[in-house]
Amino acid sequence: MTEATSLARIPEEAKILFGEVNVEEYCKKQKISMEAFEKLRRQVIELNKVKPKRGLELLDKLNTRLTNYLSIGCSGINDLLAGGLHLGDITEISGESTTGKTRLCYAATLSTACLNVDNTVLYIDTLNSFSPELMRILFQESDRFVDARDQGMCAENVFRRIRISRNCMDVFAVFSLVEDLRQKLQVKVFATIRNGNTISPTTNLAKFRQSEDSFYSGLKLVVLDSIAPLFLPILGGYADEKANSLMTSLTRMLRDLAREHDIAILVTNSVENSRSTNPMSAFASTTAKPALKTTWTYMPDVTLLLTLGEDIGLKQRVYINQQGSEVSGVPRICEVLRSHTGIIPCGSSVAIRGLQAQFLLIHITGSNGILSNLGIRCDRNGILLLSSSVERKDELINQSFKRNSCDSI
Amino acid sequence: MSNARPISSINLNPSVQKKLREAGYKTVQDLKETTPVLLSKELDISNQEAQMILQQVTESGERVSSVSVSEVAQKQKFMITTFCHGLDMLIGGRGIALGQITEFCGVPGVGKTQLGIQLSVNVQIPRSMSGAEGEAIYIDTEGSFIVQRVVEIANGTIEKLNESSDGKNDLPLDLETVLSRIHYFRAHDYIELLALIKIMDQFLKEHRTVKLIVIDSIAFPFRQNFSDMMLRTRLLNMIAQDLAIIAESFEIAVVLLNQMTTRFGNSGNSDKVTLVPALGDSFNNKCPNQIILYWREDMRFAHLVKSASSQEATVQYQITTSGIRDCPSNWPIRKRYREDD
Repeated sequence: MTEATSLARIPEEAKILFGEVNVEEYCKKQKISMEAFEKLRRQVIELNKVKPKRGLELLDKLNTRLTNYLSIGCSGINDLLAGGLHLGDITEISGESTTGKTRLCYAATLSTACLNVDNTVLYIDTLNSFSPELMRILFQESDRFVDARDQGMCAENVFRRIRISRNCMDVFAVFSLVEDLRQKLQVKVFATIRNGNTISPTTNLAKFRQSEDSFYSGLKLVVLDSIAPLFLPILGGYADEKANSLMTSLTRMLRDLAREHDIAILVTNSVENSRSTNPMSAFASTTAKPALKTTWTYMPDVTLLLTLGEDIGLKQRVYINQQGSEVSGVPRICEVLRSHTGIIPCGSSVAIRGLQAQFLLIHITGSNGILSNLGIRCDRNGILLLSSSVERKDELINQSFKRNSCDSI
Repeated sequence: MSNARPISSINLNPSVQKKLREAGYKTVQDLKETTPVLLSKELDISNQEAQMILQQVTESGERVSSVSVSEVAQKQKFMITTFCHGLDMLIGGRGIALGQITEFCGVPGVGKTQLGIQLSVNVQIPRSMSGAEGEAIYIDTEGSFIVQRVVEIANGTIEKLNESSDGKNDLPLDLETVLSRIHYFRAHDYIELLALIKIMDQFLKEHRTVKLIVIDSIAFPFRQNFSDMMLRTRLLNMIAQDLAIIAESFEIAVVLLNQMTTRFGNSGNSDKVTLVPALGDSFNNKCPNQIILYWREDMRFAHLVKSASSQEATVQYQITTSGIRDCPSNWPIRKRYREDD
């Protein structure tokens, strides 16, 4: 019996606690006295009890969460998200193929890593499509990272602080990776406590290498690009229940990590066809909605939907960049599709459903002759874009897509 | 304790999961503290079964890791050239990258199979000539693989390689070697295709030198005899996932050849009819690299739709007796075909 309580695992805890068994019979069968049983019951309660928190504590926590955010690398979208990617929250970017989901992840990853020399990013790449070449070009050429480059950050330094998952392409592999992350972060907590001379560290600490130490203690952002291929092969038909349970478990693990260690989580998702047009979207013609069905809609704190400008009738535009060369493209639209953080008027600290921003993926010729997409940037009005100054901006401002916020639920 | 990894996140069969839950096991940590003997007693299962469960728990923690971007960037990458400089530039500089899935879509006759064959030959180009020096797997679902063409293209390739090396190096390739390094599989329907992909890792473990898998075409088996579209989507997603895993773990280039389909009412305009890659958006989302091959005024063009590293662009190519080649430079090159539409 004592063995059962010393481990946090009590086989029949529910039955014991909620009196589903005949206590006398149970004691006889287990050959223990009633007193011992009472003692055991108290131990079980003690082990499982949850401590209360005061409202003030919660408010404090909320306030720090609302003011702690990372730039996604595009100021228009940052405005939509009320600052950026909030630490402790899960932000979802959904959109059709080629709408710029992965590119936004790169922008967020680099912005985070360039903010200061301690920040680190874990990038979980489930499609095996990560391109270090593109990331190097983005860092070296984009105006966004001028400050970081001026401060003497080099690509080598930044890249050391970004880790990419290997062989992480099914849901169980992602679970393993997240569990590994959890254990390492926990050691980080122990290490911090030890430095404060309060509690001695666990045995795990010995295994903990110095290089990894600094990586995990600086972890600010986890990118999961993309979540759809993990669940689509098992979702639909007979397997729904299992897929949904796994989806919930994974989200819970991620959320717990995010809240406990102040990490922002950025997840990309593909889209599926909405039966008619999607009533959630600000555009009447949108027929796409984020994939993974109903269960998933409860998981992220904020859901963004990216749309190609062509699909809602925007025309191609020409911009002149700083180097004087012409750049053309149709802007992409980013809208807040869902926000679990509530409805507060404009200028507030949470994302509001129905707001949109436009952005453009800019192409330039890299120094090595390879053509590459470069930089995502928007101005303050949520319009546009790019890595250098823009002319003919007035034209675009006329096309402003801001929508009244009282349209929200 | 509450945020530890739950038992349900391990790939165990549901009845075992249930037994574990009833015995009070909640997290992976709980299982790590027990022994096979103890577990078999508690769950009322054989010692062997208990051992298998625990083994699975240990394994599940082992196979993933992460590396820093600087390590990834330093790794030397081998490419498979297409012999068309424009096409090579289009997809990242030196050709098809190993370790990734690349999809080519196009209407019949535009040269998908030719490209597949050309790549199966070119993957064998030796390291000394900056090739991948590997073998190829060709999975044919349409029955369009013609050996005479392979012979022509192989001969053309050997000739071209001899030219470029100026006879300095002895080319270790001759027609027989080239043909013997192409493993040809004929899959007649989607079940055969699925089965083949499921046993692929076994085959690849025995044939470590394989560096390319071509599937010609991925669409064909899925465009007939399918009443349950949900099942189709799920199977396609599963194939995409399996192939991505194979591509990364064996450092292999996977080339999918796809057909085109007609879509009505694109972009909210119900009168508009467009040709789009077959198999639907959800499948297209899974390929990091996608190129559409198309005809315009009797000339062949390749348009990069999506790429992990390069920009949307269009180039021209041609197909000769000896395979895929560049177009003579005086031919007109159209930059953006979308504007013409």
